[in-house]
Amino acid sequence: MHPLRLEHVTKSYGHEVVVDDLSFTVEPARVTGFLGPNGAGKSTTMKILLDLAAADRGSATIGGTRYRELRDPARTVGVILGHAYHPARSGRNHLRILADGMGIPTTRIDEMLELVRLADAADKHAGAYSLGMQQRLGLAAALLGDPPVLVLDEPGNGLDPQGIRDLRDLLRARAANGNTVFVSSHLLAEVEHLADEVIVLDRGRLVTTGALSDLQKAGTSVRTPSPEPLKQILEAAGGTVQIREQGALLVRGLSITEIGDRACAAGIALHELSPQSGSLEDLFLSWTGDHQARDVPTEPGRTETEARSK
Amino acid sequence: MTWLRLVRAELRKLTTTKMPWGFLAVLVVISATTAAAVLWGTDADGSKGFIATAEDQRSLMAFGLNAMIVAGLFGAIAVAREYGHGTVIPTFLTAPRRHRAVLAQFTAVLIGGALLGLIGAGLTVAAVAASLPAVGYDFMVSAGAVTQLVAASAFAGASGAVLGAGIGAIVRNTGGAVTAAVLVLFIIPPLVVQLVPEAVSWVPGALAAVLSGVSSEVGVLAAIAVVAAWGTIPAAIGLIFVQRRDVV
Repeated sequence: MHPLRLEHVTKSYGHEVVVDDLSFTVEPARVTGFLGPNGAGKSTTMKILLDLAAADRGSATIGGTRYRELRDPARTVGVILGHAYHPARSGRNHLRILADGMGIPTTRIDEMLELVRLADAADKHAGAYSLGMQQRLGLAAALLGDPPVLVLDEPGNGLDPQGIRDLRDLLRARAANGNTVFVSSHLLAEVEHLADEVIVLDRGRLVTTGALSDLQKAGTSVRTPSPEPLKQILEAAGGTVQIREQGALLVRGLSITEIGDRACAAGIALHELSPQSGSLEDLFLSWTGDHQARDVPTEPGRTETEARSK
Repeated sequence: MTWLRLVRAELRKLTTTKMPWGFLAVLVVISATTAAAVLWGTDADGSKGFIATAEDQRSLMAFGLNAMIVAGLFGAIAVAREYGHGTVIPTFLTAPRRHRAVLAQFTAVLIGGALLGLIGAGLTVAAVAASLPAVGYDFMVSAGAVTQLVAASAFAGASGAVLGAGIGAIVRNTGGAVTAAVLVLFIIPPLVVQLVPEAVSWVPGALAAVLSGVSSEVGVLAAIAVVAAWGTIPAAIGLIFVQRRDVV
């Protein structure tokens, strides 16, 4: 089993802090989605994990070991990180080069080309591939060594619906076999179907992490004629409150009973009190849409700060 | 064993694009031009003095400097394009202790450069040998001298390729690496000689002439050592740069 663990990782380029005191764990046997707006630091975080970039502080390990210390790194971690191929080289030759370096028999190449449905185009120049075919080539490369860990940066980009379904089935099957699957994506609907866990990053900082199902249930929708007084009361009790539309609040960090009791004790009328089960897109926008969202609890009772120290 | 796998992968990189064919075409053009010079060229006085003796013919066929320049460009492009296309990422993921990957890359490029030097010299000797009878001259260079010419060219090609590879690793941009290689091998040496006349014996052209046996300005062993240094110093600097920099 190979959990991925980042502890207090910080990385700056010049004066810009790209990754800021980031800590999280990616557990095996789960598909973990890595979310964040463009420029949030997802790719840099992955590069630090893979020893392609050096952290200024903190540590990143795979199964308790730094990537560069792994006994057979390329057969332990399969990676998609951008389009790393020469456009004048055929897809098959690209995989041959990787297989040469890893010491993998060439028969495995044909298996992977079949798996990602690229066998018919294997001898064409990769530069002539569509975006979806390029992604399939990247996936074939990542799977070449049959690694127990997958670190994939935007693997669904450009895939057609069949390709997305294939990818989803494949990643879920690997997680079911105990593999560690860590996938960054901005395709929220896809992540919603794929991920068991999510880690959300914004401007290099951890916004939230936890089981997707818990996070989606983590809010309570409240409707009241007195939103401001109720907001103050609930925030004083440790909750996080967003005023959404007239009289409507989204409350996180407090149980539905506690919200009702505190409103009752304050003599505030409630017109609605219901568990919120938002789409990942709604949640994502609330997490990353404004700075207050960074204080959203990661799951009932667990704050961002606590999540960082996990 | 593992390192040899990396070398094999790097050799496959070099042979699975059209780049080697482009460089072979350059060698064919150079040898054809040499043959044309034999057939239709003359000295300033209108004579064929430049091919009249064994020494003249040997000088004409000396390919060491050409090999160093051609292979230097080959090495610079071969390494810099790895960064441009991002193919260095899977390389460093396979060998995260990057010095092993870079040494494998430099080794493959060295082999490629040596082959270019060997083929370039071979083609040139063949072109001269084939064209001399047409203008009434015999091929007068001994087999031993021809062997030295070809070996010198292969060695200069190997060193030039490693020099180019080192520059490619430092610059990481194909256009910039090619420009830098031309500057280092072609533009800067004569300027340095203008500034420091004592350096005249240690620039690539003079050293290649010694290796080819057409000059004795310095000893052959000294020439071998300094030609090797021309390659290994940029390569060592490149190796240090690669170890320290992030892959972006």
